[in-house]
This record gives sequence, C-alpha cells and structure tokens, in this order.
Amino acid sequence: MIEIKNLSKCFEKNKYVLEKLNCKIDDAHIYGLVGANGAGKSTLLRLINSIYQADGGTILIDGKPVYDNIKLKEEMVFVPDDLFFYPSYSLMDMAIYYEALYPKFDMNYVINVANKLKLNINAKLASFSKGMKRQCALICALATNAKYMFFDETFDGLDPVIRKLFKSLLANSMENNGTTIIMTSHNLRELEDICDNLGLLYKGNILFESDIDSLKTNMFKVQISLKEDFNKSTFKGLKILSYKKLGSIATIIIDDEKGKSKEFLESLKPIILDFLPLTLEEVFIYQMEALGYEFNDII
Amino acid sequence: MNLMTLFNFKYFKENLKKSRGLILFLLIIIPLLNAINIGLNLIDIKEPMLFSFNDISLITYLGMFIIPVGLATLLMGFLFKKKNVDFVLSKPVSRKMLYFTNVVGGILLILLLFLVNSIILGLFNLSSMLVIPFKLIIDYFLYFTVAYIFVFAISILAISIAGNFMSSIVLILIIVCLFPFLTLSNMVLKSDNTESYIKCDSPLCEIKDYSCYDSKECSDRLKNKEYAFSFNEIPKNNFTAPIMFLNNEELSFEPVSLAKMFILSIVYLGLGYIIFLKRKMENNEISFKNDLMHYVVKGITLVPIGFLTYILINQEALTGFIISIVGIVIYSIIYDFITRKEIYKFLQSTFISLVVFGVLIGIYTLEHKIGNTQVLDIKDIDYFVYESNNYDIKIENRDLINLIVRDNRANANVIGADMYANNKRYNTYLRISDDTYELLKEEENRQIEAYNKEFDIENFDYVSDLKLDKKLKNLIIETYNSKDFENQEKDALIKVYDYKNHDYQVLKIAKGINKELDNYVLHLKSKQAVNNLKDTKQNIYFSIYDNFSALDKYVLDYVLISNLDSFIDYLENDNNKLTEDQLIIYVYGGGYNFSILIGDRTSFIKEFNEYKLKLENDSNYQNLVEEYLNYSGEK
Repeated sequence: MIEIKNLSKCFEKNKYVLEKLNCKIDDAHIYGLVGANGAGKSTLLRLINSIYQADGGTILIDGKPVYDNIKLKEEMVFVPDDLFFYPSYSLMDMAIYYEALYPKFDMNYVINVANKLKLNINAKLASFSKGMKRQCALICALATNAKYMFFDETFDGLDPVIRKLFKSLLANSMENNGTTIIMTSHNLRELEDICDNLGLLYKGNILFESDIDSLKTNMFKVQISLKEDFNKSTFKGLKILSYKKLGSIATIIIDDEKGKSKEFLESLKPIILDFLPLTLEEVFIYQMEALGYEFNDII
Repeated sequence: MNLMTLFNFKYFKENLKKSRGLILFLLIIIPLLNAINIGLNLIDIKEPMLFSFNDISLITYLGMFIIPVGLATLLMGFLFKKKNVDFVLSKPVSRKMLYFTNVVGGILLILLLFLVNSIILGLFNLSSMLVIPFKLIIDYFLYFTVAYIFVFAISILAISIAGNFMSSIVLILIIVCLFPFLTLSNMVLKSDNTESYIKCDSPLCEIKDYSCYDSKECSDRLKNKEYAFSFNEIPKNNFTAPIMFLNNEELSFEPVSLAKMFILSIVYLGLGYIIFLKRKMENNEISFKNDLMHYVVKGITLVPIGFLTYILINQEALTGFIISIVGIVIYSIIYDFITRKEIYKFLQSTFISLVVFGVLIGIYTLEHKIGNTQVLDIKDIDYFVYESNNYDIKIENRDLINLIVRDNRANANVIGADMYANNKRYNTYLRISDDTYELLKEEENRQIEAYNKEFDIENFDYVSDLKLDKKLKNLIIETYNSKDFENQEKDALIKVYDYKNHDYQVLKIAKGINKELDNYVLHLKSKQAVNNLKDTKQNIYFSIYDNFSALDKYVLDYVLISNLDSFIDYLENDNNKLTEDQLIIYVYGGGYNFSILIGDRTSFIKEFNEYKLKLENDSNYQNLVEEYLNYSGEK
C-alpha cells in the first residue's frame, strides 16, 4: 500500500506545488491521478520515486519510507512524461539496462510484446517516432514486473489501437501480478476505462477521490416528464446533484446511494423516463459542482 | 557501513556502456599519443637516450585538462538534463550508491589509464636505446594518477554544485585557478618594490666602503645593521593540478603538491558527496537558480578579468578605462547568456558586474600602491641553494652566509641562487668576491663528495650516451669502489645517472682514474661513432676545436670526407687506446650531431697527414688551401 502523509514540496520559497497532501492507494489497483497542467501530478510521482526530496511529510510503501530505499525501488518503476533514452541505444540495449537493475525483469516479455507491436528491437531508438519511443518505455517498465508502476501522461502519443493494447497489458499485469499502477493524465476520458480509483489533484492537494465503480453505479442521469406541472421540490426525497428543466422535460443527476431512486421516480408515473449513462467526466463535473467547485476551472 | 556494498557494478557497467566509444577514446588517447611521442625518438636514434619526468609527462599533462573533466561529465553528466535525472534516479539505486559508484568507477578508470600508460613506458626500455627508469615510471604513475583524480574530484564537485554544464566548467576553472591566480597576481603587483634589506648582526657582514648614496631608508637601516640586498619572493612550487607547474620551468615530481592534491581530493569528494545527497534535482539545467549564488560566481570570474583590465588601465588610463567598461558589459551579457540561456535581468546584472569590477580595480590599485612602497626585509636567512655542475649546493654555514651578505655589491662572481628565509623562497643573485667564491668552491666539493658517497652504484640507470653492458657496469662499480675519482674539476669521461628522490643523481667519472674503464668507454664510443658515420656518409660536416694548425682546421672537413672510408677504417682498427693526449672531432649533419673521441692524437695526426698527401693533386683541395692562404693573409 502507498501511504502519503502531509506531503509538501515547494520549488520557490513559500510557493507550494504540493501542500500537506494525504493519500492512500491500496495494492492491486489502478489509480488515476487527474489534474490540470501544473497541478502537481508529475511532482508527486517524482517525489514517490525519490527523484525529488520532499520539503515535508512522508511517503510510505508497505509501511516503509520510500526515499532512496533500494529494496523498495526494485519494486517500483517510473515512466515520466518526457522520455529519456541514451542516444545510441536500441530497445534491446534499454532492456539489458533494465535487466541489470531490476531483479524480476522478463526479457522474453520485451521480445514478445515488441514482436506483437512490430518494433525492431535492434533499431536505434533515436530513429523511432515519439509514439514508438513511448511504446518501448512502457514495454521495459511492464517487463520489470515491479509491484508498483508509475506512469506520467501514460498514453501521450499513442494511437487508439496501441492505447487499447497497453491498457490490456496494464490490466493483465495488475490481475496476474497484483501490480499497483498509478497513472496521471490531464484527460479524464483516457483513464476512465482502465482505472478503478481516481483522484483529482488541485492546487497541490487531492480534492476528491473515489473508486470508479461506485461513482458510476451510484450516479445516473434521468430525463423525466410528468403529466402535471413539476419542479425540483417534486423530487425532494432524492439526492439531486444537478437539476435542469427545459420545457416540460427535466434532466436530473441523482446520487443514488440507497438504490431507491428508480422506484421513487416510477411511482410518479412519468410520461417520459429515460435513464442515461454518465461519462466519468460528467460524474466528476457533477461531484465538483456539488462540492462547490467549477469543474472546468480545475480540469 | 561497508563501502563496497555502495558500488553497484551492474549500474557502472551500463553507465560505461552508454558512452563506451567516448570512454575508450579518453582512455586510449593519452597512452597512444605518449607512445607516439616517445616512440618517435627511436627513428634514427644513434645513442641511448635518458628520459626525464618532464620528457614523459608533457602529453599526460595536456590530457589533464580533458580526460578527468570528460570522465566526470560522462559519469555524472546526467545531472545536466532533467529527463536524464528522472531516468537515472527512478531506477533502483540510491543517491549514495550513484555517487559512490560513479566516483569509484571514475577513479578505477584513471588507475587503468595510468597502469596501461606505465606498462607502455616500461616496454620502451626493451629497445635498449630509450631509458625510462622503473622508479621514474612509479613516480609518473603516482603523481599523475593523483593529479587526474584531483581534477576528477574537482569536476565531480563542480557538477554536483552546478547541475549545468557551462556553470560546471566555470566552477572547475574557479576552483582550479583562483588560488594560484591570486597568489601570482599578488606577486606581480608587489614586484615593483624598490628596496630590500637583510639584517645581519655578525661582524662578518660589516663592510667599510658601504655607500647608501642618497637613500635615507638605506642610511637608517644601516644604523640598525640592515644591508641592502636584492631579492624577489617567488611562490612555492606546490600548486595543485592542473597548474602545479606554474612556477617551474618544467614538469617535475613535487611531493608537497602530491600530498596537497591527495588530501584535497578526499575533501572535494566528501564535499561533493554531501552536496549531491542534498541536491534539489528540480533545479538542474538552470545555472544557480539562486540569484545571490549566480552573482557570487559571476563576481569571482571577474577576478582575473579585473586584473587584466587593471594592467590595461594602468598603461592606457582613459582609453583603457572605457574599453574595460564596455568589455565588462559585454562579458556580463555573454556570461548570463551562456549560463542562464537568456539575457538575465540586464540592468541589475550589468550594474552588479560593474560594481564588482570597480571594487576589484580598487583592490588591485591599493595592492599595487602598497607593493610600490613596500620595503622587503629579512631578519634571518635560513640558507641559499644554487646549482653547480648539476648538483644542488645548499649553503647553510652561517659564516658563509654572512660573507655573502657582506660581498653583496661585489661583481667579481655572480651566481643565480634561491634564498630561503621566513619559510619563503626568494630569487636572488649572489655577487661575491674571489675570496668568498673560493670558500664556496670548497663547500661545493664537500657536498659533491657527500652526494657521490650516497650514489647507488649497484642500481644506477644510465651511462651518458652509451649502451650499458655488463662489462661497463662492472668497470664503473670497480672505479667507484676504488674511492679514488675526481668529480667536478676535470672533464668527465662519463656521467652515471641514478633516479633517486624523484630526480636524477649524477655521478661524474673523470678520465684517467681507471685506464681499463677509459679504454672500454673509448672503444664503445668509437664503435658507436663508426656506426653513426657508416649510417650517415652524406651531408655531414667535420670540425675540431683543438690545438690544430689553423690551416688543418680549415681543410679538416674536406680531407676527412675525401678519405671517409680510410678514416672509418682507422677508427675501427687503430683507435682503441686512450692516451693522455687525445682529441675530439665533432660531426654535424643528418639531423643530429655526435662527437668522435680520438684516443691517440699523435697517431691521428700521422693518419691525417697521409690523407692530405693523397689529395696533393686534387684541385679542390689546392683551391681550398689557396683560399685559406688568401683569407688569412699568409700568402
């Protein structure tokens, strides 16, 4: 488990990028960290991976301080947003480099996935496109079989087909090895179909976090029209996150924690009653609105 | 903590692999160039050649500016790019391990470099024509390994502090040059002092016709038994690499420099370790994010620039001043642009640079003014050292020192010497009378005899210009053990060299002490000379500085060249005994010079006259004789 307590980091005096951040990430989960540019996502990952030193607070993994802990770092791998490769290296050279440092590194995995992706493992990485370089970085990271994997702007530069493939590789890693994956993105849509937990980083702190399943199953969007005239108070018994009425049709976002909302709405004998799926982005928008934040200002 | 657990061989191996080409180049270039530089001497070599520390060090010395800095950059250069830092630090290595692995790895590479280089140097001895004593190679290995490690340590420290390539180079230059520069500039500014005195209470120092002319300072000091004596302070020869030879004429083994470099390497690496562990990696790529540090470092770089401009201003007051101000503004912009990659806070930065420059000029002016008016005085001389016949003669005898002070204005004999006093070294001239000179000569003889007694006759390295064989060695040992040889007054038959205490100790063996040695040396020299003559029959010129008649001297070259084969026969067959009456013929040409020792003058003159007789009908010879007679007016 990753446990972050009161983590602070400032780059300039009294200008905190992260300020007393607290967060717990359970094992064998894929945790998505979203936030606007400059929210502190990359800084947080660099702090966890001992690249930066914290100005305050602690980061514990499996109950042990992570900073410069080689044993723990053997179980951690980080793929930053701005990738680095040695100029003369091929994918094979990179894999050998990783193999030298990660005890559980699987060279066959690299060869198999590279073949599947039609990547020439002996070609110089300098001759690869941005997307191909990212594929190489992700392959090497996954081949480490580390218990904790950190990906910054994971799918940046990957086409949809490759994205899908890597999402399945990540999911497999989590399922088969119990890997905990933390990935960041400024784009919620990119993470919604793979993460099972999401955290929203805003101004150096986690503003909101939840597991996606409960977010999606508890919340739904309803379009409803009744025979008689109606207003928001007609639905008094429900936890309404958003209410908009246009003509005789109202669009309501409901947080159905108790699971009785559907029953209640049907009891009103509506002329129209449509239950519409919510995208993760919409879920976040309404949750933020409920907390009093303007979502578009945050993401 | 077991330090070796901090050395991650796998990481080091991979770190080397990424720049294997460059590292290989850095490791090979010095041994290769050194081998070429020394090996070139084998072409057309006629006589065995002895190498000094300076001879084998030049290429290595030049490499010191590139190899250790390059190695440090290759090993720690990941700090120059943030994405490289992400890549390296996210791997399962701690900062401690990273630093330790890179530092130890770099040191191991330097050791390897010098091991290879030393082996190559040693192999040259197999040629028997190039002599590089084993003890000299050990000195070379020790000295340059430590010197390279020292520069490597400075580079590691600078990179750990700066995290930016250009700023690292600036810091390396500051750490390396600042102290020696301040020492030397201080000497330059104070070298204008006009008067210097030595106090001497001994009656031996008193001289009757001592005149102070119009100098009140001199008269006042004379009452206090302080005598005018000209000397200049010179910095001690213990600067550190890569400018450890700044005050020397040539590269030499300096134990104090070595010890300093060794200790400072440990200090710098320790300091670098602390700084690397504490380093804020988010500030990499930027040169000194902190404004104060940026301006402090920039200010330090102005120290030498300020000094040079001060010299300029001193000579060309107004023009120099204007040029300097414009120069400083341009420098300030360029410095910021290189280190910060932008024209950084132009007005503030330029203003600070000009203020620092102004302060520096003020300090230099003050220092120079003090230097101009300062009177140097020495209360007590420890000793003088001067060189005579390749020996360092040390004068510690109080009476002799006092006599030298007394004689100071005599001009009969002038000897350049170093004077040691107040734990400092001064450069001076001993202007001494004939009487004192005689006493010095006696002292010299005593010291040379003492040196010779310590000579390691069983293990010497080289005999001047001759291939050392078993017979020669035994004869030299036999002669030495007879304790009956003179060293300095007569012409040396041979000089025997032994590398001891980081320098060559020379034993001169004069002619006539051991007839067998004399003849064997003559035999070897003649054999060598004949071989040389056989190899170089074209474009050579013979001459002689001897009691020959002027006409014979004039025609010698033509006569010998016309009878070259007979002359070579003579040298091979007849010239094998050294008599009291010998002579030397010098041979020039073919890109080198050598001399032929003729053991028996009488026999050679007879031979020479026969050559002349053969040329009696030679028109060229006749013209040459005619030409001489006209030229000398003897006709």
